[in-house]
Amino acid sequence: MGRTLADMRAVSVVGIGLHRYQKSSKTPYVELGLSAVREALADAEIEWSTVESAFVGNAVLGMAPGRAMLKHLGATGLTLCQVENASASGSTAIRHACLEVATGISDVSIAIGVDKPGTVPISMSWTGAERLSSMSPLLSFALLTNEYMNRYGATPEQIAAVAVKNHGNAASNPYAQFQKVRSLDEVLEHPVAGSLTRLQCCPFGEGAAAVILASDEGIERLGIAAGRAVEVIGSVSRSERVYTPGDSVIVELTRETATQAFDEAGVGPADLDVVEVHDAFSVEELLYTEALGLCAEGEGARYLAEGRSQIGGDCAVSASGGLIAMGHPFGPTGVGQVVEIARQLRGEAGVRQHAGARVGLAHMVGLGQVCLVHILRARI
Amino acid sequence: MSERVAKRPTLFTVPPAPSTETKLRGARCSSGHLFFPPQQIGCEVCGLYGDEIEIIELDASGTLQSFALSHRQQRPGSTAPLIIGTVALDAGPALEVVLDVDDTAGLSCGQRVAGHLVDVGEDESSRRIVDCFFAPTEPAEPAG
Ligand SMILES: [Zn+2]
Repeated sequence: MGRTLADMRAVSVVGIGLHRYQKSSKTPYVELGLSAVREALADAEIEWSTVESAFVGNAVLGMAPGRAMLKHLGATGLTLCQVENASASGSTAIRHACLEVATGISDVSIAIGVDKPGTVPISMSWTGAERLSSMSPLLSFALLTNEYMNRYGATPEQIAAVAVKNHGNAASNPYAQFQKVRSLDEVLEHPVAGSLTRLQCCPFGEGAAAVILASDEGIERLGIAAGRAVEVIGSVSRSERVYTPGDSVIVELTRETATQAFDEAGVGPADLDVVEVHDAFSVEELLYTEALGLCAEGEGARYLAEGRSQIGGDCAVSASGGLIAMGHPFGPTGVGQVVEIARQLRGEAGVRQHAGARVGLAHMVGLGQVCLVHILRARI
Repeated sequence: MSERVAKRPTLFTVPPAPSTETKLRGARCSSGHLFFPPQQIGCEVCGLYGDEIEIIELDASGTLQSFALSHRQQRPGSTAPLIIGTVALDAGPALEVVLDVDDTAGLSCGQRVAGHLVDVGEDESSRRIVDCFFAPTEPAEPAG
């Protein structure tokens, strides 16, 4: 086993920025991305010229979108790399920017997520292997939803309650694609597959997110406000192994990735105040609150029903609105999760603020399957 | 009866018409790992490949783990609505399948199911194309 983030120098989030997630529009990705980056620079109160490296997460834009966007900030010659890891592209960009700083290569690095729905195909469908019945993620999650209800006796209403909570949170998030409170009855309308309805499935839109990471040396040298910095204390990236047939890949993969991240960060599930998970479909939030150890297996629906995952509960889950309601524009999503957690840990989340938030966790899975978990902690 | 051809020839067998019986083609690595769909380019458990992996026939029978009526198609160009399921094969692997049933009323988790051939169209040479769909082989558990 090599070294982990815990063995290297401290790395902190010092700047955050977003472009609202929205329906696909005529706005070029360049403008979406620049808007998020400029907001992050203003938040950190630093100049673009101080950023030494950039990692641009995108999944559906195609080849080499980075420099054509970033040159408009001044072409400084910085290290630049595009990162593609399906839905986890942005989370992977965060991880590589963290490592760039933690290893001492850069004092200041930026992770950016930007995407627009495009026509880029999914390479894993070109492996040459035939499938008996290749299902879209929606259909696979419809099957997983029914299996969850059957195994644990959960009802369609209990699963739909995830979407009620997350649409409620997104209603006060100015960067969310959906900003409307929804009743349980509204969420249960418009069946799509199995018991999944339209409002229980994330929208695939466009947007951008940016997170600036810095070492303590960078913070001091550039005069960045250390009190608003949020330390990244765990960063783990894993991929699917071979699991027992019938076990859910995303659950097993999430459990082992989170376990490793908790070890690295020296915290446990009980320490978490805010969590953002890959809730592309409502049932996923229940599966992940269980897999992360916030509650026992099969207790996800009750954990939610008791209000423990609400803002102000034990641990605010998807205070941003999550993928279901804030949206899932691919590249930006994982970066946007870290933006929300940093905002919460700074105590700057306004009406969405989870009081006293000190430790947060961001979780994404990506087709393939890959899983990324980051754990962050307030510095003061 | 005209000649028949499998929609996915590497995945299941097609006996002479009019039989609708089929076997799935799976694979077993010399490490013992048994999997579906079959391939010999490398075992996911140990990395052995080529002759170390044997293509075998698997009974297309198992237990229904889950099912759902989907109003959306599997992929662009396919039909909807359709009923899909997750089947745990008796041979071990679990797979997502299309269920050849009219509605979900006769389905329950834990029910015995099996694959059979279904006529899904005709190719350029006027051969009938058959696919492997699954259906219950016993009545559903009473609800509740
Ligand atoms: Zn093997």
